[in-house]
Amino acid sequence: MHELSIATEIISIAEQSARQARCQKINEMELEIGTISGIEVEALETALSIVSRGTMLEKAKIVIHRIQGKARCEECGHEFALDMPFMPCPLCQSVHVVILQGKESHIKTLKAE
Amino acid sequence: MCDTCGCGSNEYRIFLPGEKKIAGEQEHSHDHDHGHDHSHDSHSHSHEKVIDVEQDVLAHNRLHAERNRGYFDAKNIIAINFISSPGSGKTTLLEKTFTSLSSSRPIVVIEGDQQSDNDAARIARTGIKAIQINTGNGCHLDAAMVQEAVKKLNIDNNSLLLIENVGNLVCPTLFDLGEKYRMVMISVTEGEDKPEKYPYIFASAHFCIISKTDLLPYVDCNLDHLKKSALRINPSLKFFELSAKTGQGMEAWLQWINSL
Repeated sequence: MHELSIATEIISIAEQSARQARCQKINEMELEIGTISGIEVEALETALSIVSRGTMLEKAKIVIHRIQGKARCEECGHEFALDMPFMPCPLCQSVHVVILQGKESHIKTLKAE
Repeated sequence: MCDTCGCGSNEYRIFLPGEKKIAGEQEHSHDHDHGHDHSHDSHSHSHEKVIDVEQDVLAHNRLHAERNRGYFDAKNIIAINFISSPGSGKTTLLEKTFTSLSSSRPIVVIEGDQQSDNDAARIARTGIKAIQINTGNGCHLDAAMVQEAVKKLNIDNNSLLLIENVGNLVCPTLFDLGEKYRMVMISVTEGEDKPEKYPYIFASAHFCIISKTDLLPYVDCNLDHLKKSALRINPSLKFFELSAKTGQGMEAWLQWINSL
């Protein structure tokens, strides 16, 4: 359950950003989590609900955008969806594959006051 | 849980084998910015604003990992991070490695476990300097823990730093420690489909150590299948197949360690 330490880190970054903007309360936090980031969204949501208690995010709405893993084959140019951290090209089987998206684990925005 | 602020972020303890460990004694900093703003009664309307954070949630660990990497580079220290399930034989491999090694580099070991200093004590008995990190509730080491342990170890230049992560194939994967090489270890008793089940660690490792090969006649583990499925996830992965118990395959492993 590494999502617990990630949730702790998210709270810390969010509170710091809110303080810098002279806010005391976070109403909403928007996250971007890729499908091949290695972070389980359900586990992260549970972890966030636990570690946000007593913080500026206690009552915050958490919005998580999932980013579908996507890769491009450097040999044949085929673009395909990835649900694993790596996959050879399903068309030509080449392993010269570039990951285009899906590894994201970002805090995007906060709505705070 | 931190006794001072209840932040729960620093529950780990770092200690040398035999050293008295005191819970909560670990020194750590506290952010005491409690936002001492005063209320403004006349401003009762909402001041909600949108803050663009755009920050990687693992940025803090990455920063520490890069700091470690810079420190290791400057001192010509080679750090290796061993990741596996509990019981795959990491500590036994290290013990056997130290008893037959002829490397000219000084060796130091960081042992990561949730509790106990059994592993650091086992390593210390081979004459190698070892330090234990107990992660408490944590399921993986992170770069900041390694940084603290490294400070406490006072590592010589040109050392080989072997880091045995907490036994877990999932959680340690996302946490770069600043290592030069990442090893994933799997014993033949764990099943040939481990790479399919836990692809992230196989995708991020440089080497895969297949251990307990002396048990191959007794278990249904097709090494070809295991290696093919690992290579499908990580085409540049290299393998060591060995049994620390019988010594089978240890020569190639020792040769590689000696060549570092």
